[in-house]
Amino acid sequence: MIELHDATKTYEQGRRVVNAVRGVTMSVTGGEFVTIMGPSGSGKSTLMHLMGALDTPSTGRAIFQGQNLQAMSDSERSLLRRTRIGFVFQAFNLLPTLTAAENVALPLLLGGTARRLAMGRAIECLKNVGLDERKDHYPEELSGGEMQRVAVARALIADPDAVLCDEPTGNLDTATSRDILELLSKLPAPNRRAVILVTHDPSAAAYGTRLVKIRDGVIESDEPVRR
Amino acid sequence: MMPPLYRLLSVRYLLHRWDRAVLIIASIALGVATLVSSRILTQCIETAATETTTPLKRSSDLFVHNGEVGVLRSVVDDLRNANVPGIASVQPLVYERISLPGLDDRSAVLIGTELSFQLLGGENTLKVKVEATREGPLFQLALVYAAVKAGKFTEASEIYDRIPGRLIIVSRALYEERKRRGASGTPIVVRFGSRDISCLPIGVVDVEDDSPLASLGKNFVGMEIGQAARFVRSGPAPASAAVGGAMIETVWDAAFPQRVNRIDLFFDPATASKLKPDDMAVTVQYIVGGRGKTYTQETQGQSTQEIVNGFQVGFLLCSLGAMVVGLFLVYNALSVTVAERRHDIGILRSIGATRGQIIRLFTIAAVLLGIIGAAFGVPLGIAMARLTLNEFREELGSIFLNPEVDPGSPSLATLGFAMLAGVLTSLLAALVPALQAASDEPADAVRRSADNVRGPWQIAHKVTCATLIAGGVAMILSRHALPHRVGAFGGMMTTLIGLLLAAPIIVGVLVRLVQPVLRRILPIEARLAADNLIRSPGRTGVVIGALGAGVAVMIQTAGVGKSNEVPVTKWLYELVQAEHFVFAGNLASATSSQAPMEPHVPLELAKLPGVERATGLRYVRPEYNGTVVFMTAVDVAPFADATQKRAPSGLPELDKLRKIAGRPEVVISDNFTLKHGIKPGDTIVLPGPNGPVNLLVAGSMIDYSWSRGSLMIDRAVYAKLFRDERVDVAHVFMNDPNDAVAIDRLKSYVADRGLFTVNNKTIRSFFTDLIDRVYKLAYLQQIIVGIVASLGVVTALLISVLQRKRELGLLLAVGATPGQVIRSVLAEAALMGVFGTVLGVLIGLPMQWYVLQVVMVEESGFSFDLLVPWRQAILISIGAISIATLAGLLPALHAVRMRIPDAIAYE
Repeated sequence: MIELHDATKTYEQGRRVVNAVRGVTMSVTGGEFVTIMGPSGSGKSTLMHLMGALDTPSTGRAIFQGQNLQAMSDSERSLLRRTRIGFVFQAFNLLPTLTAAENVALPLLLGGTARRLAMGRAIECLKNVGLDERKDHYPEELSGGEMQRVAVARALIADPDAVLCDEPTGNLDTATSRDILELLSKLPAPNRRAVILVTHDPSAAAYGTRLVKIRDGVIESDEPVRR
Repeated sequence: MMPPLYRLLSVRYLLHRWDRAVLIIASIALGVATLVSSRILTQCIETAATETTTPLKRSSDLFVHNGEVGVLRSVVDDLRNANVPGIASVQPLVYERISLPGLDDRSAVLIGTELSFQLLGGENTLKVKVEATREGPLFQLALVYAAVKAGKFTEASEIYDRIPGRLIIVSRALYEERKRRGASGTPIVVRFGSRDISCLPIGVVDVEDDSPLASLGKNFVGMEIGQAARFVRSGPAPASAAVGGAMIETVWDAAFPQRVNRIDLFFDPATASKLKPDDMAVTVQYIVGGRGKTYTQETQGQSTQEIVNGFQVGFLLCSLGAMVVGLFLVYNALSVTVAERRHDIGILRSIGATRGQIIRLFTIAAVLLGIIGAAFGVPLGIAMARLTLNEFREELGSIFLNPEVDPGSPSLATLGFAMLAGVLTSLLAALVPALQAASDEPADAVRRSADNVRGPWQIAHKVTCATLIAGGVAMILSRHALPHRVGAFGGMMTTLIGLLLAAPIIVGVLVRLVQPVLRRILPIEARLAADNLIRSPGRTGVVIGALGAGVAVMIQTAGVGKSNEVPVTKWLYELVQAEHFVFAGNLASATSSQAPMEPHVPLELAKLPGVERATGLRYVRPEYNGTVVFMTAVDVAPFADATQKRAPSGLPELDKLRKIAGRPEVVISDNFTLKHGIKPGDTIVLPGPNGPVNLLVAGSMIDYSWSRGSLMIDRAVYAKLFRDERVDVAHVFMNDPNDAVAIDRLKSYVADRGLFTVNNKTIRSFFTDLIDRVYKLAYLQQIIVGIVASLGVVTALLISVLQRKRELGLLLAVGATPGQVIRSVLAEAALMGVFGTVLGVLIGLPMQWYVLQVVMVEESGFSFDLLVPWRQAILISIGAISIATLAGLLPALHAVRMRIPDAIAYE
């Protein structure tokens, strides 16, 4: 489903050149729950951005369901993100001016779905994450766990083929983290949907089916998780 | 309708950050208001000028006129007798400003025309309805007959005596006002200058909305052409009239042939489509000869346009300045919004928003703000226009034929233009930030890394600045090859915009230059503020540039004002030496030739005990070299003698006036020489009543009367050559300025004749006030620019607080007091004020030089030395820095209200 072939990512930070990812090759198939672990600055978020079409490699290739991401136009990549990929971020990344339901409906609204239809689907998604009663609340009125559930509902509204989570429990307490990770662990479906989780929390990694360890932009190890 | 997605994202955000939205709306509203007020004023003045140069602009195809001198009425007969094929009708017209002493001296417009043709003819070209008043002479004669029949001879005589010599028709408003005062049936006294006549209204006129009379206002009087032409020309002295009776008018007709202001020629509708107006004008001109000039509708329009061009350019520059400053501030505010929403943009991009959707998100918000801003700006602009007109009502009323200069309601075109300007400004300002927002890679945006303006944008910015500045300078240098005013004004505006755009670069350099010093002398709060200025010149630079632009135009105006005011006031004070001045109407109309006095007035004044001498002055505006120049006819020798006696060290050039006494010669102003390329020894030709008048240029002197050039001629020579003996004002020189008895005698003479007098002090303060008011108007517009710039400072500092959130949070965390944080934000505001002021002075002084030495010299021929307005510059600088510092207060308070953990967590 997702493949990286000798992918590198280099960017400038002030006068410094950062080699965030250095020649990574890996692939993810439907039904997998891949956990990417590594210390701060190891390049794990950048790796996730490359897989999720948020960014393109400086060299090498990134492929999503057989399509070369570099060969796609910006609009095509936008369409891909809107319809086939869902994202969950550490800082929840909800728009503060929209209600929970509106935040969830946003990908559909961006795609031109009628508001009524989009909102109906958003409420369904919120129900699936147990938050339908909070649909009219603004982000600032929700707890951290609730905000992350809203983010998960938004990631799922387009029924994506891949859900990419960047430290989704980083801002949550232990109990809430567990709830969110359990929610995420139910998302992979064989030959249908993969989940990629970036974290530096070993307990979070235990929820995955495969663990990829990264350090200094290079994959250190890539092996199945033994339960 | 706005798509629901954008309504959801844009409107919700604007409501959430209403303070930002209010600032943007206010910036746009003020810019639009200046534009609307300028447009209304220009239209208003254009309409008034058209009504003055071409009142009753009917469907006539050709016009014949001869400036203020007028066209001999006999030209009408010549044109009719010539039976020019294709010309169906030749109609003379007289129009003058009059006053009505019986109705509180209210001003009205006198229209003299062949009433029978205009009103009773099939065409009724005036589109009016006339209703008989039942107080006409026939009605009165019936009463006389009834009284005679009843044997009441005394009553019959009294009624007969009430039948005055002139019959008039009056506007409905005048008729009703007269009736309300119970004056029906009695004559109306009509005053032109110092001349009164009794008239009886025989008809009342109702004007249709599309009548050419409609634009002349509510108060007008219609008179048969012959009576009107006699009334407005110089009349016999009262003593002669008393002795000569009606006979004297006949004698006077021979000595002073009747003249009309204009002759209208109408083409035959049957053949009009085949006629070429330009060809017909040539034929008509052949018949008219040197007695006047023939204009088509088009050439007449151009002639009017020439008069209003100056106003238009001035207003246009001011409004463009406000719009440009507004544009940069809206740009700044939207850039900030983009910076602030960068994370939101990242979220949207990560969940699939396209670049196009991000661009639309910002442009739709900008359009929305533009519409709201323009909606507020339009009524504000109307109010500003009304305020300005009220300020100058008397002067404008005295310049134009219709005294009621009224802005009316703005036209749909003006409203549409204002909305468009607001929206376009906002859209244009949003374009770069929107493109920048869309160009962000989603990963960068979502990573919440610091926003770095990337290379291509920096290069584009530098190239744009350099192109604009170089282009502007090139336009200035090649201004003589470009269409009139395009190079001089367009070049100046383009350079200014380039400099404004380059402000971030200039400010960056300035701050780097002074930073080592600032680091040594400033306390820590101010040092942090200075560092912040360097760190984000893009944000602060635009606002500093806008503030600088405001300061620059204010300093330029103050400097130009001082450079003009000092020499003009000196010249005026040296020239205006008489102790008293006598005129009809008011002070403003005394110099506009709207209310001339009979020639005997200065003669009688001179004979009053205690009066050393009285000299009459007549002002006329003949056409010369395709424009209107200003001629003063004065009793040159006595005027020069009396003036130099009172100011021996002033105006040595008055000697030149003595030399032209009794000769067909003129002394021209220095700016006449420059404007028209005429030098002493040349001959100029002015239109006279019987044909062109040749005048030898005897010399030139300083004279700031008129921007298109002025000339002085001996009044006796003028009266003979131009058949006009009247005077507009009499300068009365007293033997003893403090002789109270003589002054009382003068006042009593003036009052008995319905005239007015003021002393030297009053007339000087009148001119000083007038100059002050002109500059007050200019300052008003610049204050608006200043307010817009201040709004920008508030916006920039709000963003600064946002950008410095972590730094300020850290300061609080390590023990800084709220006071220190407030001081740090205020220090940044004050520094922005200081740099804006420095930039403003650096741009303002060269601008002043450019306006004085290039623009003014080319526009008016006046060349003034550059005087630096030190006092005003200091006041403007203090004002700008204080306003900028005060603008920092709100963001400073916002800064100390932050939660420290939130602030520190913020990246």
